[in-house]
Amino acid sequence: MTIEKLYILLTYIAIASIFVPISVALYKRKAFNIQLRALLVYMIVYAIFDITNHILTIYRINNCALFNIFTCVEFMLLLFIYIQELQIKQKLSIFLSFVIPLLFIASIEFSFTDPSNITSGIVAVIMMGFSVFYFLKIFLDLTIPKLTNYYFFWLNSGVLIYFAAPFILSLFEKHIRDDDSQASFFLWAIQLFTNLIYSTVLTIGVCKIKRT
Amino acid sequence: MQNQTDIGLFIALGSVVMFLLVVVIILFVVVYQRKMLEKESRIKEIEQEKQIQLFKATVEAEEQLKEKIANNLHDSVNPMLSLLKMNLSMHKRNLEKNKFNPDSFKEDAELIDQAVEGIRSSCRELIPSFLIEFGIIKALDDYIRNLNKNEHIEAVFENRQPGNTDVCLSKQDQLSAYRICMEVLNNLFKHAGYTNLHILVENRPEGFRVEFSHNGKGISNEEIDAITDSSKGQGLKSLKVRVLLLNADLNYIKGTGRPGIHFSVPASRSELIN
Repeated sequence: MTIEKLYILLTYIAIASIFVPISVALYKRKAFNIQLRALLVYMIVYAIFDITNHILTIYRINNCALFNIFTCVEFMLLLFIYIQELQIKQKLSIFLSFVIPLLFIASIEFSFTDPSNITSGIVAVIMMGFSVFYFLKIFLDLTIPKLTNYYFFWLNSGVLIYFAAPFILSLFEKHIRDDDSQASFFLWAIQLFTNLIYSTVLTIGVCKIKRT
Repeated sequence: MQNQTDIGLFIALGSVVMFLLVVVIILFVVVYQRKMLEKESRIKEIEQEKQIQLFKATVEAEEQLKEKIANNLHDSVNPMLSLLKMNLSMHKRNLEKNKFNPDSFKEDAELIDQAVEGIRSSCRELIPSFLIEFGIIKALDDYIRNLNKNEHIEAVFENRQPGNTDVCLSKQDQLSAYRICMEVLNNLFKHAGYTNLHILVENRPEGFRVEFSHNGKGISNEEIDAITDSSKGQGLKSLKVRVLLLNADLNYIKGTGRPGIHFSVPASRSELIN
């Protein structure tokens, strides 16, 4: 199997995989609190983005604008989930203090033809920061009896892996785009593989939510 | 060629970083669970220690009660019975000498009466007959009536459902609740320095509740806990045991309005079924 074929196969698997946690989440939606409802919305947005992105790629239409918008929407939804889960006191002011500067940077950097690398880099760093902060908090609090039974641990791990991958990729963005050899396919295949891990981790997390 | 090598290096580096990330998360879970186990075992140890202390307090409370009964019998009944024995010996001697005076039996009968009263009083301390006969509400009312004989204290007893003396507690639970109330009243009398005391009782289907409010010195739950944990809080420890055994709640109120103590007992299981 060539790298290109592996890439296409992984693309379809990655797209299909996001429907697993969505289905589980819809089944358990009655037990959902506000952050879980936000998570469900996020997963649906994620799935719509993935499908649209793939269709645009097939028809060779530039998908950068969609990618740039999705980066901001994804950031806002995940930030909201983290603020809710971490039970931060001044929720709105913290939310706005992160979102307004990011939207400002994103609007300056926005382009229909190029991806917003600075914006996605900042999003990745902030989300990884929140993820590490969450790990640190639960480690110091020691209030969760069995970590692997708690849904947010899985979501948090997924976020860390999911954002670490594009962050590393964004560092080598120039090399990847300049080079049209099989290596770039292989590198993007890693990204798709990371997405697949992300969907799996989300599924495990959603499965850990108790249905009332 | 150089570019190809760079990309290969980046891919390898990226893969290693991702792999390390997963390893770090797994290690985190392992370390976290180990810490959690340590924390749980520490909590268990503390709970065990508390259980031992409670057990000790229970035993001490029992021993104190036995000592009290023994002292009562020794101080009030024993001297009378000894005196009675001496009198009987004297009567025997007098009978032998034909000097027996039948009136001397009067004194013996008085001694027997006093001994019987002494035994009754000890029994009352064990199980107050008034409580057994009329229930906790009447018993508390009776206690307050006696307390009012003290001219420095004005005590008011109020039943939220006047005329209704039925409570949702079994006889055994009523006895325990009564003992707790007695201990609370005793502590208030000794330490609060009040001149006005108000007792409100309320019987609800889900439980029985007594509110003690006074114009003396109040104490908070935290202060009570500190005294209980200290070596001088033996009485409070046994009180805590009684409250725990009854699955009741004893709340010390201080700071807002009149200080007081709120005592509530859940309805006894059999009473709930009824």
